[in-house]
Amino acid sequence: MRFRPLQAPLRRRSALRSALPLAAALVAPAALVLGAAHAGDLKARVAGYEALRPQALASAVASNSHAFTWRLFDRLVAEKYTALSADPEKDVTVAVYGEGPHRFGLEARIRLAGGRATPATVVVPAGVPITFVNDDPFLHTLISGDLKRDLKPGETHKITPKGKGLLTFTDSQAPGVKAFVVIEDGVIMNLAPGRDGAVKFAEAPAGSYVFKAFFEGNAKATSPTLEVKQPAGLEVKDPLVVGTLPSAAPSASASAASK
Amino acid sequence: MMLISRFWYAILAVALAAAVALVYIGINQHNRIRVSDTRTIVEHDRDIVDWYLQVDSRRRLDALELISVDSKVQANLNKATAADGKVPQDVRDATKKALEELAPKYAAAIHDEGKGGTNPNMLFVVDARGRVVGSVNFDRAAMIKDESAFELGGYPVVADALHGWQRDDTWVVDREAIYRVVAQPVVAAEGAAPIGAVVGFRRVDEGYARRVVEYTYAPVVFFVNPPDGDGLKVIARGKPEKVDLNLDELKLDAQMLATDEHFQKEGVTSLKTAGNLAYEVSRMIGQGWDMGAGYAVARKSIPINDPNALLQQADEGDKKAVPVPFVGGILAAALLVGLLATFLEHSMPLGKLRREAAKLAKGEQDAFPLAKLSGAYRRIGQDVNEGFERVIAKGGGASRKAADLEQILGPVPAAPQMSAFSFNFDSSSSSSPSGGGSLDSKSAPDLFPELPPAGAAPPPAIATLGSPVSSPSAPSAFSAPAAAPAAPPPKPASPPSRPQAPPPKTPAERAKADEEAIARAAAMLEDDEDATQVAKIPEELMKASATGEVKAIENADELVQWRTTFEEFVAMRKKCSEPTTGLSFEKFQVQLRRNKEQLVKQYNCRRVKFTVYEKEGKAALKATPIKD
Repeated sequence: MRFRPLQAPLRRRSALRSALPLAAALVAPAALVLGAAHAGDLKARVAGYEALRPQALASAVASNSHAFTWRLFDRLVAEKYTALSADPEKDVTVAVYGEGPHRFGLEARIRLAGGRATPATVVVPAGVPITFVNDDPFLHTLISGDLKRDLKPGETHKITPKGKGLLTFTDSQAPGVKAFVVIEDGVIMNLAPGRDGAVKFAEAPAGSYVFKAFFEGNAKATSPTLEVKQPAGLEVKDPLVVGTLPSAAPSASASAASK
Repeated sequence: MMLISRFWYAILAVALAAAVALVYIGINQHNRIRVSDTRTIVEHDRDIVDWYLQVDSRRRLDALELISVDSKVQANLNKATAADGKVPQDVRDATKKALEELAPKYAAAIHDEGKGGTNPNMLFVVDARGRVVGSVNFDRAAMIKDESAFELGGYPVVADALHGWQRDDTWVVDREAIYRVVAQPVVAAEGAAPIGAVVGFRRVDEGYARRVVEYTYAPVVFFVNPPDGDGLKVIARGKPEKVDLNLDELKLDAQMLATDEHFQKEGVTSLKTAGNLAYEVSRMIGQGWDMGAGYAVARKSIPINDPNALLQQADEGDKKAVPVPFVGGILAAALLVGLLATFLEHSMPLGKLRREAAKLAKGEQDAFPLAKLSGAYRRIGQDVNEGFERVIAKGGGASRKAADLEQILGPVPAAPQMSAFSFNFDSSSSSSPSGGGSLDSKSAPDLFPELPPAGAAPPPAIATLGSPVSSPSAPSAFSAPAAAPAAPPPKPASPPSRPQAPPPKTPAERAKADEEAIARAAAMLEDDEDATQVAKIPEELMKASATGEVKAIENADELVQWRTTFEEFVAMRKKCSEPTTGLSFEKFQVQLRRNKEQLVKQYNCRRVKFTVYEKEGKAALKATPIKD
């Protein structure tokens, strides 16, 4: 399974990739002189996301929402799979706090695709621009505070948040689209968990780091300070628990309904 | 009087008014029922369209089984879900190929093949991560910049399918399009998590509206009214071919929908009208409920405002439904009754009048025979006759009015004194200038005040009748009741209306006095329309009267007639609630004889006919001279 830093633009990554040899040539002698630590992977895992339900999905299946005329349970599917829950790849964001410069590059990106925002939450330090990209073949209308902007397929919209706080973005064309922008100091990068909740800060420089798992703009779990030492890196054993499943899940068959 | 005709006119007027009132009642009733029926029909249409949309969703859902169970689709889904990052191109190609084979079967299963070779049903295969692995017939495919990044997993309907739910939805896209969406999970093994989902789109366009109309027979208009858009846009509509209505008249108004509380709360408006259309609007269930997706169903509803509109809106069938024989029968019957009434009451009496007038013109008769005339024509005849009399009188001729006995005899006291008539021939009681009166009137003056007093000019004795009171020596049989032989003399205190001549002493003087009295009486008759009508006094009659000749009753038949007249007179007095005490035939006949003698002398007639009649609520007598 491959882990990647969240929202690193391809072009920016290409630019960084082209600049790395030069940077390495400049930094390596200094590191040798200063005794800088060798990089190691910092691994962690998010758990409990099955208990999270995105607001858009929750409201869409509410019985009084006029959302459907038919919603029938497929009896071939095991009941444990029928509960709508957060997609860890898209709905959960792990923000990495640490020393040193952030790794967002020129901007952080949020894709509007498939009826949702991916990632749903970005956590950035102040001054990092956020760019929304419409990757759907449909119109999206980005709304937040005084902002209301139609984004045709392929169009983008860039904002630069000022100060700390939480910004929420909705879409009048697709109620499932909800994006949250958290502006906090000390954030150096965002990680997206895999389908199993695992995250990896690849080649993390030696240093102290803290992982925070966010869901819909809120920090659901925070790791202890993680000290990365060279050369082995670090794997956090205790997962970042972002949610707790209820003891008795409701019967899926009982919720089969048609309006 | 034309009572029947006037009554018939009244009936016709009432019938006409009732007919007009019934027409208005019928119009109002029709409009009320039509509004109610239209509301019911429109509500049913709305329900039927709603049910159709549900059934259509279910049919599309079920038809997705064709794709979800396809082995190629499942195999490709497994490969796609397992792939991190982008879906491999070969997997996408294989999935697309499989969908292209399945799409026609899907369209056939739901009987929505489209027209012109264009399959309107868009199909997508989505892996467990929400990425679109393959699609066909997607009308927005050209807008996808990177097919490998195309996703659908964030939409609730797809997310539900990826969690094992079959579900439908309605989307509003770009504020101008409605998509009906169904999604079904793809399950490779029982009890396992879905490996993906298959999704079907159907854009709501004219073809879809036609399908709705075809199945529901309801005129329908689909629209988008996005809450953040520029206004309501109609996107598709359709109506049954045989339904006569113009959907262009249906101007759906976003403002109306925004202010309709029922629509905001329940998603359905109450019955609205636009032009000749009655309609209701409903939201479409799904995500589009809050995004302005809706439809309206409409029916033609033209209220009838007046009877003229009633005729204008009637078609040939309506006109043919009129029961012409029945209506014609009413018309003929009414016409016949009216004609009959006018014939009986107008034409027939007028004809009689015309015939009698012709006889009059020919000289076959001297006056209108009033007995043959009726109603107003009798009155006309009477007026004409009276007119004749006036003309004759002005020309110096003799009046032909029937003689009124009262005018001849003078007033008769209501309560006869003693047991006898108190016909007062006293000059003191006959001084009224009116000169009229009746036998039963106390106050009525004597018409012949100048006739010689009974004592001065006694009538000849009626020996043949044996009247006990007929005595030439008596002052007057009528002024001296039998019960009171010593009748009171005429009241000297009563001032005479006219100067009285001294009583004649000799027969010649008496004859002269009689002649003068008769002449004065005749003159008075001419002045009084109500006076007794007598024939023109011939010259020889005047001469005969001058001689003082008086004939006695010659036969007993006349006495019998007088007896009958007496009985009628008594009956009439009783009828008029007048007293009859003291009335006796003997006295009655003496008076009649006396008057007959006077008239015979006056008019030179052979006999006099007495007739009883009622005058002003009192019994009266008329004397008619008869020459033959």
